[in-house]
Amino acid sequence: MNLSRKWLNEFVTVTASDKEFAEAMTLSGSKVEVTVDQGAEISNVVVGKVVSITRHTNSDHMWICQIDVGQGEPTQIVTGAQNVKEGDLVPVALHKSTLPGGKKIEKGKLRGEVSNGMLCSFVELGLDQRDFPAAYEDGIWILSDDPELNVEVGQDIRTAVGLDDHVVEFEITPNRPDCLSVIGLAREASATFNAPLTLHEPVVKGGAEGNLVEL
Amino acid sequence: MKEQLATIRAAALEAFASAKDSAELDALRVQYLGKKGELTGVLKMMGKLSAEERPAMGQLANQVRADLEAALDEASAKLAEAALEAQLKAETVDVTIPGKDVTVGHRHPMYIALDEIKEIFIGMGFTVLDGPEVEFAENNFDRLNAEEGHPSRDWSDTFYFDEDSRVMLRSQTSPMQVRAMDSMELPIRILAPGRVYRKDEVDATHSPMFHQVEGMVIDKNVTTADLKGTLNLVMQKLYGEGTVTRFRPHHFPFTEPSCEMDVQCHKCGGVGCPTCKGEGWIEVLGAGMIHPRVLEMAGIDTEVYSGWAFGMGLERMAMRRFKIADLRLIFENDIRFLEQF
Repeated sequence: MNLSRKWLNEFVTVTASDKEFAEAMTLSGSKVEVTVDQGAEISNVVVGKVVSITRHTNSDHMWICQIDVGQGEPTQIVTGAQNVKEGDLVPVALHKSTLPGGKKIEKGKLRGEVSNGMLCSFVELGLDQRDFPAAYEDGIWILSDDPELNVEVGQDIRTAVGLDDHVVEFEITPNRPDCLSVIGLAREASATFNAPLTLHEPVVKGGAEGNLVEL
Repeated sequence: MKEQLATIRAAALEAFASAKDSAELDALRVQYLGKKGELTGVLKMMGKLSAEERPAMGQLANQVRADLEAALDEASAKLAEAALEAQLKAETVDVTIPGKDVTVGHRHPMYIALDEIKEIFIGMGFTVLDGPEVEFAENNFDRLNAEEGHPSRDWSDTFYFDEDSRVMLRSQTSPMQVRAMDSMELPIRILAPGRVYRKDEVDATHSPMFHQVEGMVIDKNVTTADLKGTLNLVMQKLYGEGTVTRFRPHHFPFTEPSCEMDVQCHKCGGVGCPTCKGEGWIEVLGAGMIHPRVLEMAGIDTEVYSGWAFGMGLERMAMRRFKIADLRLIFENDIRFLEQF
């Protein structure tokens, strides 16, 4: 059972570090196998806005983009993707950034034009279709196209798309099926850390008298 | 006659000197000094000599005889010495030749580890039991309080022989608990090592066949204190005095409460290092107080008797003890691997 610490915080506030959390939960009966920091391999990647986009002078399939990354003047980035348009909000891997898989991005020249980084697809950020079903597969991830994302220019991409999370993998034994839910593990965490538990109180909509069946 | 003697003397001496072996020398002795020998023949003719000639001739003849005998002895001695030389030379052993290698067998590391464990438990009065690897699902699950829906009973995890899933390759050594309760008188203290089978792909840490060691104690007034005390003592003996252990809550269908026991990593003293994968603790075994249902199904009165049991993975113990990195080495039986133990 994988538990997102961010999601756990909706029900119980636990300030313990990953290591402390793992040890305490293991000793109280919920064994932690491993904890993964989702955004560990990503650094210096921010949300950028495409200010302008023009065809590359020396290449018929590349584009020169001026991207506003919230650090003063827009920076120039060359991309080979075909789905970027003016006004789009996109992930920008700046100079000396890192991506999953040990990839390092540095500024350079592409066919004679300066490129101060790289625009990213969601695959390059280590994500897949299950995380963001609406994301475009074959090109740059257009963050502004996703109605559920609320991102800002210059924002760290990890905070922007929810990769600033630590996922704890638990070994759940057959006698504790209640721990196969976030609420169940929140109860365990609340008991383990002696922290108050806040459960959602469902609100029933409606108001007619009588049985629900009759509504 | 004088000339005869002189001739014989010369001839004999030469013959003796050139004799090649003692057999030839003996023949020469007979030829010259024997009953019918040449010298003897000449001496016999002494009777034909005059009285004046006889003493002188006799003296000469004796002289010749003495000379020949001396020469014979000398030749004989020389031949004996030569023969001895030859024999010594022929029987010489070259002590610088390397010796023949004797190939000695080697104990398998896993059985070295198992023997150690057995010694410790036998020393505490445990009996070592063996049991069938092809087991009834009843003994492997039902009698151990694992009901029909339990995930480990699934065809994806267990090797079954029949469609009805009644006969299988045991997935744990715990069926031995059932067999012990069925066949032995109380109180019971048993150790049951053996092979177990689970549907797993072969890789560095998994194999469809591996080994476990089961232990069980049933007696009056057995408590969790006995479980902790005994297992802690076993770890002191296996890993050395001062080994720190800890028990964590866990779950098994046949024990209540259940726990898993860890040993503090020797290398880092609990801080975390590559040996213990940063945990500081190394998992060793699962244990617990025997579930009352299990005792009831075996016809044991739970108001009078209680017990505890444990199960440990044997390959894990051996691999950690001897620093073997890959499980497959244990089963491949490569001579180059086995020779190291």
